[in-house]
Amino acid sequence: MTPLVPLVPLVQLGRPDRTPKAMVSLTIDGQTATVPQGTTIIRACESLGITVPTLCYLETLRPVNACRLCVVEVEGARVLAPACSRAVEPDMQVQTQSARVKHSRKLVLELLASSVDLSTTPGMPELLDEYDCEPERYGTPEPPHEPGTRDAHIPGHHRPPNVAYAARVAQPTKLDNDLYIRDYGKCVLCYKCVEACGPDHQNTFAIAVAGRGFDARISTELAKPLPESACVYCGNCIAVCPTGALMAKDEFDMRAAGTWNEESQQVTDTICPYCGVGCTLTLHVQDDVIVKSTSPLENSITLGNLCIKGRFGWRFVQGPNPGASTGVSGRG
Amino acid sequence: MGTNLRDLLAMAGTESVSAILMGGAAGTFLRADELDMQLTLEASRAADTTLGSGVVMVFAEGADLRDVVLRIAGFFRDESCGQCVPCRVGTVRQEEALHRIVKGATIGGTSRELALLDEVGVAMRDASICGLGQTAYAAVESAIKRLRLFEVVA
Ligand code: SF4
Ligand code: SF4
Ligand code: SF4
Ligand code: FES
Repeated sequence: MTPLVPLVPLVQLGRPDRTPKAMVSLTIDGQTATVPQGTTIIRACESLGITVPTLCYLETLRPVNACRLCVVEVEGARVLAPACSRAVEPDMQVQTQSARVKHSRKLVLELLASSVDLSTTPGMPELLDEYDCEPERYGTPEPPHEPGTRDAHIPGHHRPPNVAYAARVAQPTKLDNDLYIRDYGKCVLCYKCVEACGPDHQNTFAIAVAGRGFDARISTELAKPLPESACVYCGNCIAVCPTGALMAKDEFDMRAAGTWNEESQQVTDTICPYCGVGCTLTLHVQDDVIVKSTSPLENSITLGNLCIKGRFGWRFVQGPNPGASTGVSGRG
Repeated sequence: MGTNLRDLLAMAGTESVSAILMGGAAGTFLRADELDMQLTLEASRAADTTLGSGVVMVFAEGADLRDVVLRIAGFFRDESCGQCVPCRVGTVRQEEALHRIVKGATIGGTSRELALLDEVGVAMRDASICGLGQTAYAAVESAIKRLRLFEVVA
């Protein structure tokens, strides 16, 4: 039996899938789409120029369909379907803008915005606006949790709600190493970092989801600080994080100092000088100083991934005293 | 013909009924005047309820039904696995709103809270990944709409 979602969606991972496929026709918002069998609804939507909002979906990762922002209405189905992972079926009738769809998307956005700091999530203000979200209507946001307390919550231990507040995940940023920070007050639990660190890319398995329900959180083993964990600092989790919960320390420090200026940054592709794999490096340069290094998602060699050297090992380029204006430290 | 709820309750020797929870925590409440329902899948569906897990939980007159609803809401908040947003956060917001109503600490009055509960409930039912989130509002909804437990007193 063919699984509905192929275990490794090769096409989505950027490698051409040459197996011949039957074509499937379906109707989306009254328009007909004809796509290869196994295509996800979201890809069929793309073929018609219909945009579906997503949060936990990324072309280079297996869909986890956890955020439910991409839900669409499939005629005859009891509940809404996640467009990011549901495969098309012949003669499917899909609505991407029905009242039911809009209601659930609005609620997903509000529930997130009322419990998570989305201030560094690109595109979020526009989405909250588009769906008329009022996250304030759930109550006064509760004060931030003390450091480490959310990591110690035991599944199933009931804590009655405090009627004065709306619960949220706010907590201090975890600063335990020189290379990247973890600000889980901004985490929407999209699972992308877990997948990137685990079976989809890095196979290091340094992080996983711990706890249950609203207490669920991304954690190292036994919530150990990163330097004591299995993390190898490839930063592939940072590359896929959609909210800025994971951020290189340089960017974090510059943002704190008010010197991070994305618009003024120059972006140049080059090849990582360290080893024979030859990963494509995208260097982000502000005021003649490298402030960040990434790799293009669509690059067929890296799929956006690097190792610690490509991700963080470029500080030597700029000597001991790079531009004082950026505050980026010198030799790493 | 088949057994109805009244027969079942008589067999069990039930003396007083204020409400019945059909099908467990993910089921729906029935009122004491709905005992003629046959215990079949068809009849329960027609009556807009469920046999669910098969549990028939009878609450005697005088039982604190609001507290039962709070406990059901707490159960769903604790049992949500936390994968999907509607259930992970929705069950929390549902429990908070019910506590606000019961403790007289509403934001903007009970009607607004009930409307909020309905909005959250519909999204949990429509957009959650699994049956837990999809039914997390079922008992609460029936307590609101069938039992009118949280009715605004004019
Ligand atoms: S830096 Fe790499 S190894 Fe460390 S948690 Fe992130 S993905 Fe995993
Ligand atoms: S840390 Fe980022 S990538 Fe990981 S689950 Fe949270 S939001 Fe997603
Ligand atoms: S609906 Fe199911 S999958 Fe989603 S959080 Fe609740 S228990 Fe988990
Ligand atoms: S994008 Fe589809 S469920 Fe998150």
